[in-house]
Amino acid sequence: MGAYLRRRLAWLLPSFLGITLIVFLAVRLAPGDPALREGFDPSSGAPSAADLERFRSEHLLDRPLLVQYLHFLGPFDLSPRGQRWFGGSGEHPWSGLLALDLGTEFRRPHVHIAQELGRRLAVTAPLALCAGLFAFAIAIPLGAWSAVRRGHKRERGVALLLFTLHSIPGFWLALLLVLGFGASGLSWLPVLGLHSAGASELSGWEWTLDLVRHSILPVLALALGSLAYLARQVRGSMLEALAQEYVITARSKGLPERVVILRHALRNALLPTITLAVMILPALVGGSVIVETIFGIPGMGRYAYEALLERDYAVIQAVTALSAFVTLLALLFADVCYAWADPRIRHG
Amino acid sequence: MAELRRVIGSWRERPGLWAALALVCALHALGAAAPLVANDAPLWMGTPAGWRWPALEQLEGGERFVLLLAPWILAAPLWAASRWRARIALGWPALALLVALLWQLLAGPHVFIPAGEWKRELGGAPALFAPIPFGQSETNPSEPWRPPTWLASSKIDEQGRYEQRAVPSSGGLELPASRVEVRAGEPARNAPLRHALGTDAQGRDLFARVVWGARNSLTVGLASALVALVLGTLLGGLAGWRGGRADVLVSRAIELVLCFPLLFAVLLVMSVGGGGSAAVWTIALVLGLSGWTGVARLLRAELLRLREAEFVLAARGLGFSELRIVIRHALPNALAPLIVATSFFAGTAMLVESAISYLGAGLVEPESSLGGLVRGGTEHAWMVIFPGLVLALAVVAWNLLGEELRDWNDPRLRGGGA
Repeated sequence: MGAYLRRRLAWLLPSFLGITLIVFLAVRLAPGDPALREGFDPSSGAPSAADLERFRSEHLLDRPLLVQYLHFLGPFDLSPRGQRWFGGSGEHPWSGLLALDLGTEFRRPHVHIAQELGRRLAVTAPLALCAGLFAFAIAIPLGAWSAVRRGHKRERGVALLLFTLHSIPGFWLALLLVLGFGASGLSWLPVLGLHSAGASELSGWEWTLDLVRHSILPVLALALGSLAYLARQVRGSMLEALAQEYVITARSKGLPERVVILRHALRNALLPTITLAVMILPALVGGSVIVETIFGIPGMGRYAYEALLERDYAVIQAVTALSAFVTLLALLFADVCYAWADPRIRHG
Repeated sequence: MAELRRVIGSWRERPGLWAALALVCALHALGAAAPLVANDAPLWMGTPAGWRWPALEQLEGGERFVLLLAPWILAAPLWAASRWRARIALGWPALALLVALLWQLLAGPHVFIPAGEWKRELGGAPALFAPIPFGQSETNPSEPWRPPTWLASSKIDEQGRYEQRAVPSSGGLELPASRVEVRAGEPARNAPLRHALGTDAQGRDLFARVVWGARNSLTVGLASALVALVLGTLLGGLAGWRGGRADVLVSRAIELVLCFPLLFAVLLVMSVGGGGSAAVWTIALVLGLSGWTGVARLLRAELLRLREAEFVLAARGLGFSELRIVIRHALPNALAPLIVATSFFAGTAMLVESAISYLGAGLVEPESSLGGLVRGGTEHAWMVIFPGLVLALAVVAWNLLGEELRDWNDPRLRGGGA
C-alpha cells in the first residue's frame, strides 16, 4: 500500500503543474487585453497610455511568458515591488501558488482573490453538496431497484426516463424549470438569486425557508443530470453483481432475498460508484457555471465566467488551479479507496 | 468491412440498433441538405433569359460536396445492410467529390447575394422555393418575437397589431405596429405554417435557424468524435500495447484531461476559435482534444487483454511485425468498444458545444448552433423549447446508438434484452 501511495503522490505535482501551465498558456493566447477591458477602473474614465503602461508593468504583462508563469507559480514575487534577489524593491517578497498567495484581482486591485473565492465557495459548495447528496440518495436505491426489477413494465418506464434525462442538455433543463415553475409558468418558486429582496429583515426560520425556496430549482437543475448518470451506472454494476456466484451461494444458503440484495450484491456493486462520485465533481463545477448564470447566483462558477469575459488572468488562473487541485485529490482518493479494496490494483 | 458488419449486426437481429442508426443518419442528412430545406433563395426560377438555380448557385465548394453527400448519408443504413454496400460506400463519395470539382470548374465560385435579395428581384417570374422559404439570416422587421404561427396568440391583423393582446411581448415596450410584409414565395400573413416555430428578436424564422443551427451542432458532434477516435486509438493503442512507461504517461495524461471542467473548454474555444464558419472546426478540434480519453481508456483495457490472447501469440510466432499484428489482428477485435465510445462521445460533444454556445463563447452571428439559439431568447418559451428539443433528439439518437451497439457486442447482454 505504501509503495502504491508513494507512486501516486509522486505524480500529483507534475500533473498539477501541467494543468496550471496549460491554463496559463490558454489564458494568455486568448485574444483580448486585460488592460483594455471596459470598467477595470470605473473612477478614472478612459485609461491614459501611462495608466495602461503602469497596469501592464504592475502585472508583468510586458515581460516574457516564462517570467509571468514563474511569477504566478511563486514562491518569489518577480514584480518591481517584489523579491530583492530578482531586482525588486523587496516590499512584497513572496507570492504565487507555492507561497499560497493568489494575489489580487486585476479589475478591483483591493480585492484579495483568496478571500473572494472563499466568499463565492460558501455559496457554491453547499449547493453542489446538496445536489451531489440528492443525486446519490435517489440514484443508488433507484439503480438497485431497476437492476432487481430488470425488464418489468415499470422499470422500463424508469429506464426510459433516466435515459432521456441523461441525454438532454443541463442548461435546457434549467431553463425549462425556470419557465415551468417561475413567474411565467406556475409561479410556484422564485427563480432569481438565493434570497428575496429584503430577506435580511426576516426572522431566523423565515429567512431559512426563503433560502430553501430559492435553492430548490438550482439544486434540482444541478442534480438531475448527475442523478441519471449515476443511477444508470449503479444499475449496470448491480446487474453484474447479481450475476456473481456469491449471490447464488447466498441464495442457496437460504438467506432472505432482502439480505442477499442489500448485503451481498449492493455492497459490492457500490465499489465502482466511489470513482463515479469523483467523476461527477468536474461535472458539478462545470454545471455550476451554467446554473449560477441562469439563476443569477453569485457563486464560484459565475465568478470564474465573469473573470473570463473580463480577461482577469489572475482570477481565471486561481479558479482553475483550485478546481484542478480538488479534482486531482479526489481522483487520488478514489484510486486509493479502490486499491485498498482490491489488492490486484495495489500490486499491479 | 467485415468487422464493421459484425459490430453492427444485421437489422433482423437488432432492430433497435438499426432504428437508432437510421435516426442518426437522417438527422445528418437533413443537416447536409439544409440549403435545400430552408433557404430564402428559390431552388429554381424561370427568368425570361432561361432557368436559374439560385439556392445552388450561392453554395461554396465544400458545401456543394456536403450537399451531394446528403442522399448517401441518408441511405447509409441501406448500403450497410445490402450485399453491394462496399462498392457504393466508397464509390459515392468519390463520385460526389468529382461532381463537386466539375461543378466548381464549370459554374465557377459561388455568387454572394444578401439575404432576402432574391425574393425582391423575382418580380412575377415562376419560382420554386424550399419547404421553409426563409434564410437563416433573413430578417422580417415587422414580426419580431412572433410566437409560432399556429397559436391563436400569434394572429396579426391588417395594421400589423396582434389581435389578442395590445402589447407584443418584447420587454414590455409597445412597438409601432407595421404591416406584415409578405414577400414572394412566403406563406400568407396568418398561415399556420408561416413561422411554424416562431421568430427571434429580428423576426428571423426560428425553423430556418434551427435547421442551419442543427447543421453546425451535428457537424461539431461528428467531427469532434472523429478527432477523439483517431487520437484515442493512437494513444490508447500505444498505452495498451506497449505498456510500461508509455502506459504510465498516457494514464497520467488521461487524468490531466479529466481535471478540466467545462469552463476550461470555453476558455480554449475563446482562445483558438476564429470567427465565421471556420469556428465550427476549431470547436470540434478542441472538444476532440478533450474527449479522446474515453476511447483511449477502453482501447487500452481491451489491448491489455488481447496482448496475451492466443491468436496474437500465434501471429507473433509466425514472425509477423508488431505493426501488422496490431492493425490486422488486435484492432479488429477491439473495434466494438471503440465504436461504442465514439458514438457516446458524439452525443456528449454536442451537449458540451451547446453549453459553450449557450454561455456565448461559441459560434458568432450569423452562424449559429442550437445552444446559441436558446441564448438568443431565454424569456420566450418557443425560443427555448424548439432548439432544445432538436438538440435533445440528436443526443438521444447518438446515445441510443451507443447503447444498442454496446448491448449487441456484449455477449452477456446479447439476446437478453436490455
